[in-house]
Amino acid sequence: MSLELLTVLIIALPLAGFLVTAVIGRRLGLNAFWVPVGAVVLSWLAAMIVVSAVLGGSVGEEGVHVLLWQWIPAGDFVAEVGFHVDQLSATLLIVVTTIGMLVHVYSIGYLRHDPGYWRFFAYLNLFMVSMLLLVLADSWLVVFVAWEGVGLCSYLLIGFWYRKRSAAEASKKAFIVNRVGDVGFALGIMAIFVNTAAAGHPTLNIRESIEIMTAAGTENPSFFPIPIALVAFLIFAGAVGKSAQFPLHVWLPDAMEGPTPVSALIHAATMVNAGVYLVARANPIFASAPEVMVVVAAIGIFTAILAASIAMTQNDIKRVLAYSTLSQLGYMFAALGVGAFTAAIFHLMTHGFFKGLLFLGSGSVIHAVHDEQDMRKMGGLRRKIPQTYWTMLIGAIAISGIPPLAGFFSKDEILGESFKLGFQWVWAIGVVVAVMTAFYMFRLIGLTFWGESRVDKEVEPKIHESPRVMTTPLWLLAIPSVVLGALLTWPGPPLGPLFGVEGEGLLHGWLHPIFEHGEELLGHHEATFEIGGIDGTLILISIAVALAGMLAAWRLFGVEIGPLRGAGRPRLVTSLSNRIHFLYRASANKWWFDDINHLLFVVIGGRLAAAMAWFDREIVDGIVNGIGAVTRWSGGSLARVQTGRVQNYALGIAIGLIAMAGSYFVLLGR
Amino acid sequence: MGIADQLNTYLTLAGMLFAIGTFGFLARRNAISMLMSIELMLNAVNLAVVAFGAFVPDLKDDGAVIALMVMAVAAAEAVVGLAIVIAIFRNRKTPLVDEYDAMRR
Repeated sequence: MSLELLTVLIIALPLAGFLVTAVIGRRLGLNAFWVPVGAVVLSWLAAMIVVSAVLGGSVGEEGVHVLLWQWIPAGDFVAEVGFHVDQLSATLLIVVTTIGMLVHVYSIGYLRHDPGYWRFFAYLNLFMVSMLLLVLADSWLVVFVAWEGVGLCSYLLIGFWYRKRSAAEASKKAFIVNRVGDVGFALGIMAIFVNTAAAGHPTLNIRESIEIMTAAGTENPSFFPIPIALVAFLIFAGAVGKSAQFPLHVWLPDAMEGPTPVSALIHAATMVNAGVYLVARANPIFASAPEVMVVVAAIGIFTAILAASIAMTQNDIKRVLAYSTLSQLGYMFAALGVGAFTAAIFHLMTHGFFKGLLFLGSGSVIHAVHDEQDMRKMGGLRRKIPQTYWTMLIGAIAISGIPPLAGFFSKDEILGESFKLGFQWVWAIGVVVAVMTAFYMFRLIGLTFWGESRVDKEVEPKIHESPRVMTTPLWLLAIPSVVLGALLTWPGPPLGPLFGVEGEGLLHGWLHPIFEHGEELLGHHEATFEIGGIDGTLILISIAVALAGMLAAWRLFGVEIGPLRGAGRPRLVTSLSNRIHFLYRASANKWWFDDINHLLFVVIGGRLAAAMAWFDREIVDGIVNGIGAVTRWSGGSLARVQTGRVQNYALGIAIGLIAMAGSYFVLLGR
Repeated sequence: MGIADQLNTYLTLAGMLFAIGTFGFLARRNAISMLMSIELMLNAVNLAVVAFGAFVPDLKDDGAVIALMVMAVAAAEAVVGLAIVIAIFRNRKTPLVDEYDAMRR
């Protein structure tokens, strides 16, 4: 089979799975999972073949290109629907299809007892279609369609249990907050169209338009009708919405109302990465607007520390992970902002795997303790659900940045690059976030798995490990969480020569053609890696802060790994949180962002809307109704002239005739 | 010059006939009478046209032609008018136009 056909199949298979399940899924009952899961597994296989061909270099630097049809042919301008698999798309394909497949398998067990079994799989397949389209599309317009598609699926899946009021509200919140960012993205696409048209070649093809907008000779600020900085900013606005960055971050924690596999797939591993992908994809545009890059870095690192500070005090296990996701996404944007594009994609990949693992693990925990999400009612689950415990522990170590697990490599690369590229403030905040990350992760592990059991008495005897269909995906995600970091940075044989990359990390080699242009525009040049010099020092600092955070959590919330033993100190926790009362309350109340939004948009915005509604009702409608009333009244009065008697009309004609004749004579007589 | 040799004599007569026709049209309630009044007015006009044709050399032939055309139109008008009046009469059982008030309601 040709690569083009396989590329189409990657999307066509889940699409077929969605259609089949949507049409006949209800009748299949508990067998509804066969078609959608099968479709996703086959899609994964096809994706892996395409990915290995693209990354192995056997199709050249250009990648695989498929033109499906011309969507909008309009004179010079043609919007095409087509796919393009280059190195960046390929790396994203690995994350999306692999985690997507494992989450599908996991859902077979997780949603077993839900009456909406088939509906869940139909939505999940539809999400895969949209997400793959987003990654593969080569036109801004198609990306936008996919962008809205994943938003729709996110909405449907957050509100999957739509009878639950909080779930229905959370889904609406996610949808509406996302709209704010989408407006920016839509305007950005229009701006791209206007700019390329001004350059003489209107196009919405991603690569062409970026090439046009960053070509040499266009540095003059008045060359384009819309400044490049504004274009970059608008695209970034879309990314902020989808990737839940400050100030549009409020929807993601609430999105945890959805089923846990959804949180793992959409709100941790794939959809929320779409913003990162978008900025990385448009890297030359951003590189031409360094001032916007600083904004990206600032918003990213601010979100990172904000979310990490909130994660430290949340009691809902999924909310801790949600804020952790926000914080890690913040890292990625910080990396993009400082110009370390590869580091951002690297962290995107590793984070996708270990955060997907942590979410699925938390789902297994929730499953075990009968839909309890409050960590205060857990504890001591280590012995009861050992498989979940070990995999989640691996995930926690990975995200905390302890070598040699995956998170260490990617996080350290972000921090190191920001330091070396002259963004020391990003590095400094990032280090603080690293401490907090290790702390809240081991607080989560400590509260959930270690120490005394605080589970309700009636649930306690019923705690059981999840079925194998759920634990197997956990282990399969644990493997990349351990090795992926080392794998992708490994410079020498045996992997390097296999993919035609030597002397640099695998991922660097793969993504070099994508980010070459952006890095050139930024004026970055390859810095040598000195393990004995600055790089070694930065790595040591990273490890030290991760250990510090971990130890602090162990001291407060206990530890039970092998010979390491320690009981939690709840009293110390209470006295500490009393000592920094304000910070504690701010963190526990999420820095009052929901309240601020409520005040701004519901109270003040509501008043404003009410005033507008009054103006519309009384003034605007009054004028319109007034015109109608005057017309009706005058018509009614004039209607009396119409008597219906022939003589009256004839008299009118006669009088008119006399008047005309009379005026003729009068005029003639003068 | 006798009275019969002056244009004004005929025009005056035509004017008088037209006024009588107009009055009849306005004053009578009977539809048939109103149609007759219309005929009177048309004939008044015809008389004027023929008079112009006889007294103004430039209009010698035109006057007669116009008069013939007016007659044709008057005949057609009488046909249509009478047909309408009969149709309404069958419906309403009255020739009086002030009782034809379907448009008013």
